[in-house]
Amino acid sequence: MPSPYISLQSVTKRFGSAPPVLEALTLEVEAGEFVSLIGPSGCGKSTLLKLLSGLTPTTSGGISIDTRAPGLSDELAYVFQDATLLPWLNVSANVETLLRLRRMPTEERLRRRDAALDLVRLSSKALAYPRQLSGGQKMRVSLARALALEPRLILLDEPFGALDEMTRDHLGEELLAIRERQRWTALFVTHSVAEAVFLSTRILILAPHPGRIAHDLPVHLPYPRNHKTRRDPAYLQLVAEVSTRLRAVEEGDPTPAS
Amino acid sequence: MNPRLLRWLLPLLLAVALLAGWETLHHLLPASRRFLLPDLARLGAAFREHGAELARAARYTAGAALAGFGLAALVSVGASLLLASSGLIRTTLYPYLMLLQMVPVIIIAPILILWVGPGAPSVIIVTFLISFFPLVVNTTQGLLSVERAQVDLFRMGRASRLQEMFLLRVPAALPYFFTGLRISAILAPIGALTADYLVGSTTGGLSGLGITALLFSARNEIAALYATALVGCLLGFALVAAVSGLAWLALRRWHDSYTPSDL
Repeated sequence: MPSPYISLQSVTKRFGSAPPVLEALTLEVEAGEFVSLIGPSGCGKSTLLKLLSGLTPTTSGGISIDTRAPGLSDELAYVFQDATLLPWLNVSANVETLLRLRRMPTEERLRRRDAALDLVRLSSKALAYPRQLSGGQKMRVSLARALALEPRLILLDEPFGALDEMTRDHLGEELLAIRERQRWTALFVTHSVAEAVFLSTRILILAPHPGRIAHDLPVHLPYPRNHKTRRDPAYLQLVAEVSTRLRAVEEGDPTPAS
Repeated sequence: MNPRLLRWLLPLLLAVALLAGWETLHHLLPASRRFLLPDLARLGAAFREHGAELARAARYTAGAALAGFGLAALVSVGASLLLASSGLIRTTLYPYLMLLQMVPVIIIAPILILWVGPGAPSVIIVTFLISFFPLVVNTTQGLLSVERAQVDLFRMGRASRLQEMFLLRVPAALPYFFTGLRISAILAPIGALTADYLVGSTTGGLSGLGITALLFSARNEIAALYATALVGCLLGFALVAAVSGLAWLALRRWHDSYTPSDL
């Protein structure tokens, strides 16, 4: 039997002597899935992404991405909550930052930069500086920087959390459109149930203290999804269901409400 | 009223008002005390009479100030890179760096005269000591004040320590470096002038504004002393203007302190 693309086996993470942030978490994700992580604050959503990125080690338990340990993989990109652009570099140079760190040959670097800018439709802003961009544009540059790595896995930590609802919806649709062209796997942390349902193939509701998976729900809505999806009764029903379950988890009762 | 015009007019009006106030104050003083605050005509005469001497001294002091200041800028960058690279190095070295700033120049002066003798090298060393500390403190702070997420970005990109330092921390520290540079640009000419006063040399006619002030003071030439002070201030203004120009060149395109609406 082939092993899953991402595998977490009984992963526990604690910082110092504090109670664990995540406890005995087991999860398998297949290549091509779009998994949203949702849950009250303190449930370890962001910590889970940090563990997968290899930035922080697990306290116990094993993680593998494509059968390798995290942090050794070239195929992973991370999108932060803030755009985290370098203000002294223009849009082009920001998109190239991570490629430069890898000392990628110039020709290949520029090809990837232009392709990524094209994907987020910001080629016209290539020479602008971050302070000249709107919040939504900054986030698109941040996405382009991740996409330029041509990753197989993207970890997104509430990337649209600081944006207004309109911009947020647009960026969600753009993200799915890009996914149609580049097949990557995504783990997406969010606070928005509607966003999670709209984007994902699968939603994990996490419960806090210690962080663990309370619900693992598939989303059977057909792709491509667009603004019409948001009026689809099946979509609306799923949003209602996830909301109910999330509320139950927030109130300390992780058993299914239905 | 045109705001551009106002920007020039207001400082100009204030200058005229200050000069008028000075002149009035001179005439309000009892006649026996008026020599303490010479009128503008007498100040003008002092400039004419001692112009060549002041210009020569100003050149000398400006040179010493620039040398000490440039040396401080150079050494502070190296020291800051070292300090920012490790907390252990910081806690070990910081007290001694403060010591550099805390030992009064008045005490260092005679020691310097014994070690390197009076003259330009001593003046430059004192200027260096005075302008070094604000530079190293600000630049180190800048190198350490990088957003956590940006550091994470670099670590996830598996940046080497050198890449993290020179592609992330150094550019992020530029605004702080220029803050230090501006403070030091004000201190350096004052430092060079004071140093000249304390450890300058009169031999060979090579002396700066400090020794010039000493001579005017000995000859009781009050108006010439005021003229010397003014020349010292002009040196400070010139250096600050030069540094502000450099900061503008380096930061205007990206830093928030140069927003387009400000121009």
